[in-house]
Amino acid sequence: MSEGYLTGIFIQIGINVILALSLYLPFSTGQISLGHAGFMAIGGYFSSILTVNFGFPLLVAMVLAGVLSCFFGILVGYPALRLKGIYLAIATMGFGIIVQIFFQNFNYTGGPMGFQGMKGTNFILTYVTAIVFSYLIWRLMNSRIGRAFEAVNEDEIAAAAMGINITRIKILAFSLGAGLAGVAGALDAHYVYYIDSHNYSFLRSVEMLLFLIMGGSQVVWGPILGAVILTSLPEVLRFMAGYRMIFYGCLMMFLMIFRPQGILDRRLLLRLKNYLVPWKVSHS
Amino acid sequence: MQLMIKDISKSFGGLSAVSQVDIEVSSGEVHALIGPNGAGKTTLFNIISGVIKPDQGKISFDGQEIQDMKPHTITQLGIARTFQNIRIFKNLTVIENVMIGEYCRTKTGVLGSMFHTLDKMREEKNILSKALEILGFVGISSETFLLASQLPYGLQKRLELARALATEPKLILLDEPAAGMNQQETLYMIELIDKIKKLGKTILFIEHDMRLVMDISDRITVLNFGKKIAGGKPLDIQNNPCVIEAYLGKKENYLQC
Amino acid sequence: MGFLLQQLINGFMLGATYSLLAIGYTLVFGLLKLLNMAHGEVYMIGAFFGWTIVTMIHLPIYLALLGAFVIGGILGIIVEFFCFRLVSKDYPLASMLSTIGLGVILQNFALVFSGGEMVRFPEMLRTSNFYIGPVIISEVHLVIFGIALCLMLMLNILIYKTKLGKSMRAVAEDKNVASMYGINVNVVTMATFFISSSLAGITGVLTALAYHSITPFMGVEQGLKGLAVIVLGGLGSVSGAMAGGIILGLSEVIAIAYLPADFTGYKDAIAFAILIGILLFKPTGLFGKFGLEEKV
Repeated sequence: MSEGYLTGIFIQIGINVILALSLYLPFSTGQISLGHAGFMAIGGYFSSILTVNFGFPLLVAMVLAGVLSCFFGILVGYPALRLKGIYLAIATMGFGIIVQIFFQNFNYTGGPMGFQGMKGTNFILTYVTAIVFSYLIWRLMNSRIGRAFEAVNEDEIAAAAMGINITRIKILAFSLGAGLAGVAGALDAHYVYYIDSHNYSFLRSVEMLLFLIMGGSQVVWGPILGAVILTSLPEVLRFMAGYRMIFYGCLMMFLMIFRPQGILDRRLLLRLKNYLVPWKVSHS
Repeated sequence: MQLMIKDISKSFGGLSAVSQVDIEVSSGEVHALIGPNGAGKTTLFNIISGVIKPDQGKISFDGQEIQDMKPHTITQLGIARTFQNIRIFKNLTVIENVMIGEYCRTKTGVLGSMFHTLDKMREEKNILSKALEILGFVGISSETFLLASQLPYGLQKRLELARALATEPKLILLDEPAAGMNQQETLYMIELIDKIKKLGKTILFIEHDMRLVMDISDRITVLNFGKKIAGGKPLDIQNNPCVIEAYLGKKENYLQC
Repeated sequence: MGFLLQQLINGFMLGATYSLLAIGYTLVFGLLKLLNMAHGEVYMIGAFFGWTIVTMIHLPIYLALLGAFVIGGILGIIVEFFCFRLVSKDYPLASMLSTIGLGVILQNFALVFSGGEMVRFPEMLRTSNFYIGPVIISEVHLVIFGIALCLMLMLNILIYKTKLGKSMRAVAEDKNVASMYGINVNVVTMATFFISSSLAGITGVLTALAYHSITPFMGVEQGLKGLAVIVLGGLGSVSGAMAGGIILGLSEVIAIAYLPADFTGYKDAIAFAILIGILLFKPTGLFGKFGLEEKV
């Protein structure tokens, strides 16, 4: 195994951690997004245009990509507010596909030919970004705003009775998540050198979802765990390369039957914490 | 007059749930809202707390009209509530439930939370200590780190009360605080309500347990079929023939009801 | 004028296949509030199965149709059991996610089977055409339309004139009350899944007959368009699914015919634009009955 190969895996893990976290944010308020690849696409293409066509440095392009995706998150998130559960899932799915179809036909970004020439994602950039985001989101979830997220997820009516502005909180979570996906998209595009609409299919959205669902959808560590495990596993199980999706599918079905909340849920985390730090006052 | 409900009506698809109700609650008062099942009491609570918009009428709180406001704004103004079928955050811990109650009285935003500023740390400490204090006040300190779903029914009801108190309300709406409780638990609840009253808060509550109602209420309003049929001091209500008829059925036709 | 009529005929045919697929979705949703995301893949597997029967085992086309019908039904039972019966109802959308997983598995199987390439479905019908005025109606048009109509008719009879149909409607209204009246909810659920998925299977072969090519990816796109159709028609409404399918079919065909060449690729976006539009402005769809409010 060459060093470059290992680095590649690690970079992919890093990008997937950010993707999983980007899905976790809206999820923590009860909003399910099955079209997050759409935000990733927006970030990916926009950042690529900036670096390849206009010579922007990657870091700046990443930030701008995140901002643009965040903006689209608000655009999508606002009407999505009145949709619950399955309706929201369907709507976000539709959004993701529309974005994919758009980029398949949009000639400025190459249409079916795709876009290429992006480079610059390296180990350090990916990991600094992933770690910084993980830390910030962890801090956020362990704060007043994070508690509000969880309250909205549990019971919107009760949360409103607590003085929480449901609308603002949900849009906040959704747009932050979209922005994060955009940044991940930028990193991803500058790693794979060539992107086209197939990079951002419904299957991509499902893959992100699997990281979150398997790792644990209730706590911040969940998506991180899920991304790490599910990105490295296929490498470990490289002998079944063609059957990767069968494995993912079986995993999803298995999880939904036996442990729908994922590996790491609140109860387990609490127990782990009480076991490791019994003398500290812990809350969440 | 702290809370003034004037001519409030609400129908659902042709069925009148609340009809031209007028109620006045003074500051610091313990006011009971009673009536047979289906009389419109919880609907009225929902209207006051902003969950439902009334078809007509006005509600003013401390001089401000609130009938068109959103629930979270109403809570910010100082009205808190509990729910008939407890709506605590089941998958969160007891302490977290109460801490969430303090949301509208605290202000750390996204950036403050993410970057763990000094202000945020200070505020978090305050939130935690206040929450612990409230848990002690309602008597569930020993369960602080349990998940809310792990509490027995009676303690869950107290938790919901604690959570409402955390919003620092001037007026608390309690929807059947003693529902499903045995005698001992009911006595404890009576003591709690009294403690809350001593804090200077106004309490408007729905109850079916008449002993509790007669024991602690300063004034009572009686609803039946969405209409207010009586209002006044406990002793007056007890002897009011319309009220008796509402609960026990028609014995004699009281024309004035 | 003749051109427009021809497009309408084509649109109807396309729409008929959309309708058939959508009906399957809506049956399951109406019964269980569950969106079976593996539906599109069952449709795709049906097409492949039909292809196998025709090209590898060399049996006549009607056996392929029947075979796909049965295989679809069996897959439906599998979905019912693994993605619904065994899955906890406490977690939102757990069943739906599980069907996504199953769909992914099915797609992978097809990928491996076909080597990732498009598979050509042979000409099965004599290419005789009927000319009515300026319009050409091919045998393919007739067969597909005919079978689709038959199936929809049979379904109608089933739902409204048989005991099973009555049970299905009862369970869809209120599962608990239905079981109190002695209806075996499990059997009804299985039957619904069977019917829904067998429709998908046979529709797969019909599409293969009409368009001659099948790929492992046809399920995803058609499946998602099927979603757009049921949202348009109203989740849970069979007549909505029928109407919605025709509307979508006509829209797409008209779009291809009248949009400038550069933009025809966007025709696939029509379905999803409709989807989002309906969800935003009239979430209950044309004939739907499911609202979005919550009781306090």
